[in-house]
Amino acid sequence: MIKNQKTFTFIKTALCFLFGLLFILPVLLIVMNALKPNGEILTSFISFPSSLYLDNFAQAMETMNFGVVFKNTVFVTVCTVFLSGTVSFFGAYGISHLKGKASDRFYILFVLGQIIPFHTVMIPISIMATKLNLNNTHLGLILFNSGFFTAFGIMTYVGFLKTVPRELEEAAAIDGAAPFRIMMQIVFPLVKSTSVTLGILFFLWTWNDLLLPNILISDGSLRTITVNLYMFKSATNAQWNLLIAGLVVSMVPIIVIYIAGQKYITSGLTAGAIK
Amino acid sequence: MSDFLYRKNKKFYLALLLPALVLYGGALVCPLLFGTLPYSFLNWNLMKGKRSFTGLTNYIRLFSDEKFIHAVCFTILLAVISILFSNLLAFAVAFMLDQNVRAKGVIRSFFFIPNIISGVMVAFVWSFIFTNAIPNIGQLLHIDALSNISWFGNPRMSMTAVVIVTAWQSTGFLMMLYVAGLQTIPKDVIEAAMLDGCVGLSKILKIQLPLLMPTVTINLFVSIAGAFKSFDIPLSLTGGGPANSTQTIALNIYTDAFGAYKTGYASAKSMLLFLIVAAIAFFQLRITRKREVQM
Amino acid sequence: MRKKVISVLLAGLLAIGLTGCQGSGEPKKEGPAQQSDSSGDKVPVKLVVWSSGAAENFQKGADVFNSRQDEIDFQVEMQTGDYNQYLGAKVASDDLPDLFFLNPYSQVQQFAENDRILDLSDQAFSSKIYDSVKDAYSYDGKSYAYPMCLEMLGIYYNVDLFEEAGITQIPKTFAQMEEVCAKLKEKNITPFAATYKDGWTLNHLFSCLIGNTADDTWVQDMNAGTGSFKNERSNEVFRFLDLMKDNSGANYMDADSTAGFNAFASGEAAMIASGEFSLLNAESVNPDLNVGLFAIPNTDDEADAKLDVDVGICIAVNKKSSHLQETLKVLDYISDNTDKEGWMHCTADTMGAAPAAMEFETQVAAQYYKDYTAYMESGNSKPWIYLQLPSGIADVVGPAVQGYFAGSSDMEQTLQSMDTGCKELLE
Repeated sequence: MIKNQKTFTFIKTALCFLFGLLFILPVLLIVMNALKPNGEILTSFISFPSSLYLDNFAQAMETMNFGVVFKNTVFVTVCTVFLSGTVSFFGAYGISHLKGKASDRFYILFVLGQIIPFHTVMIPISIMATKLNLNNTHLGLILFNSGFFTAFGIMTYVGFLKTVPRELEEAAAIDGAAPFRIMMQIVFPLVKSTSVTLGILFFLWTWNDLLLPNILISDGSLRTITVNLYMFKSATNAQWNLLIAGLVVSMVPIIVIYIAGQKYITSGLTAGAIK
Repeated sequence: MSDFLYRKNKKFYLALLLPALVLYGGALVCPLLFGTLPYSFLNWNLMKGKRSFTGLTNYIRLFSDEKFIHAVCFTILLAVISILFSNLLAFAVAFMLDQNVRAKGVIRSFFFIPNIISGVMVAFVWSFIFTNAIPNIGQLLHIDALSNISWFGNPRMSMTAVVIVTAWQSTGFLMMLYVAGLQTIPKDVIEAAMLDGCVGLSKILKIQLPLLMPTVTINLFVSIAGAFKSFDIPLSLTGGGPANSTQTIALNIYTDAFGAYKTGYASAKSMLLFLIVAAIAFFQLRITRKREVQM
Repeated sequence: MRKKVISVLLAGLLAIGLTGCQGSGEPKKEGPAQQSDSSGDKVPVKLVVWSSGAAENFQKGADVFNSRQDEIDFQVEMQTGDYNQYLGAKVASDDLPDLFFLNPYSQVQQFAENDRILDLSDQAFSSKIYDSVKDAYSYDGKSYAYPMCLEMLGIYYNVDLFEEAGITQIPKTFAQMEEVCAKLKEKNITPFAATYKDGWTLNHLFSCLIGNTADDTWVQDMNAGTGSFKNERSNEVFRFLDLMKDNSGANYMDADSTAGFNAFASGEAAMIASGEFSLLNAESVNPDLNVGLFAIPNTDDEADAKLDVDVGICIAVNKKSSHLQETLKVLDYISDNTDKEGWMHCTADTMGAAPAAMEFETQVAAQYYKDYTAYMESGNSKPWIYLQLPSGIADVVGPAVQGYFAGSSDMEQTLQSMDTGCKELLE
């Protein structure tokens, strides 16, 4: 009985694994090509690399000024994630505890923000940034990005806050707990999987952001990683070997964070709390 | 849901909204209402520097703009197909990996990784797959149709290509949210249902899906918003071609704003895009939010 | 246990981030120095460039300048995203940098008209630029930008493959071109390398073709809204397009510029109708590639076969720059053609690089470069005509020609959509 269960699980795992591999095949193709010199990439894209050619990585990282941009990007990203996460959680908590029309209206206000493509507001934002002296500062990047992300953050938190039983909060309030305490000590831990998911997504979006840093940041010393990655792509040409290598390197932190975050997302804390 | 908490702490809840309102208002609402909206009433060419008030001319003109109308149709088509496909696939994968399967974290990341990669690289590798890999496979398997197919030679195939790549890239993101959503369903509810004999499809449809509604709301909304903002992939994969047949609304607006520098006209199109999507989203939110269950 | 590891990871990231906060203001590399520092010893002059294959070379050029003196810090800033967006944002917020790239003709004229850039007529380079490209950077009779480099559009051909096919003479008329294609096909060599998935390559092609068949007032008429892309000689344009359709191999719509450049460099196709930038990656694919160049022959008159040579990039000076003197000094350096180790050497001296717009002794030994020089010296060149039409025309012509190549529009419809598109740009 147990042995059958084990084989069944094994088969399911294997199938899922294969399906996943198939799905990710294009990405594997990209990564494989990072290990080839430029000529080989252009002429034999599909074949396995002929040798462990690491020059692309070295060259790409040096041209991109990797040390500096990595630090910059980590700083901007971490700040943005914390700021937008906090602001979204507070805002969503407020919305989900307000009653009636006001709650709905605020929800719609934030939610509609996700519809707006960046190009639409790019010109007004660059004018605003210049006037507020936020040009060429990391603060400008953090503030604007957090503003955009709040729309999605609030939408998500409001949705997941619905899964937190109201009775818990009410019980704590009756026991004399202050509302802020209830929010942070009772409710916040229960939406941990949401917080981690949002953290990962905000991290990803800030890390990969190209348009906003391009407009706001001009100093070489303040640039972010994706901005410098695109120096290998131009209108009429591209240095694919360096672009791919740079891309692979800049992908690594996100993947690490994603895998690390998996544990938090599926920790199953929610189930136990109700009892 | 009792009023107790609300009556007690109304001011607190409103105060919580303040930081969000300030940040969001400054970053998004102000530029939109005090930038894009006023621009849409102007005949303004950014480079030529000439600005003049023209009222609703831009809005009237865009209804007879063939390229724009085509872009709207294509975008709606892209939205419908990719939303259906990626949501179904994402849900299936999230569900599949929620069960008794080992190495969940790693497999989940397989599905998520396409979402990490920028449009340019995605387009580069898929271009190769379409123009090289698939014909090669077709030759190996002796399927003539497959080996001779021209993916970017005619509008229909190009559109298909864009839809495929878009759905591929968005599945991972939606899956992530479905996974988070599945975690919120209390295990005892599922156990109770199974004890009562509710299993399989019936369990999914009657127990898990309704409790998953908040996630469905978010995912559907994000898919809709994302599809209408679709820009990176059409730009990098087909350039909007051939002959603007795969040009999405966002790409069309972009060409007007930064190719011809018609800032006023592009702003009008942006406002219209916003109104269309807002209407659809409003509708969708109303339907799915009604079905959400507050625990 | 896992939780601990993750918290340590997150804390570590935060720590890096915080040190990054302090680190980002004062870089340890020899890159850009203090800017807002009031004790600033070096005056910063910034040149904003768009991303291109030559970007690293610009930085090298700047490094040479910086190593020679101590008062000015010449910084090259590469705009890696879409340059048009960047320019639009900077114009809107009135925050242009000291020096920046502009497209020749209409962009230079628009900026000059709006009083955004400095009149450079009295600068040293003015007298040295080739006469044929004077219009590209002038407005109202004055020079408003420095033409940094020239680009040439034509048919680049594989000398070895031509020999193999027994082609001994460069085609100068349409009939001769047809013969060349036939000979190549006989030897099972694909004549043209396709790049048609990228609309901009078709825009270039069309510009060369129509340059041969339009009369002198055509550009003015188009800019006034009274002209048309269609004229009695339109069939000379379209018969060449038909020739290319028949001779670009199978599934030519699936190949983008990278694939096309690649196919040419690796010898899969004998010719490519493009610019010198198509050769930038060629060396890494095939270092022994022997490339020649000839003008696109779409008419029956040999004299019409002129090479399309025009300014590729103009450098403009922001009138409101806070360091005009220093900026002009940097411009002097950039435009100095007597400097063997300077800017021109760094940026214009390799295969596939765009040459300077004035006399400069280069070290490029390839056949195509000799061909180009021959055309220039005999005065056999014509401008890139699409640059003189309203800006945004590339997005009209490219897709229209794509429609023709894909078979979804015929000659009439293609010309019609170009006319409509152009008129819309004039509004």
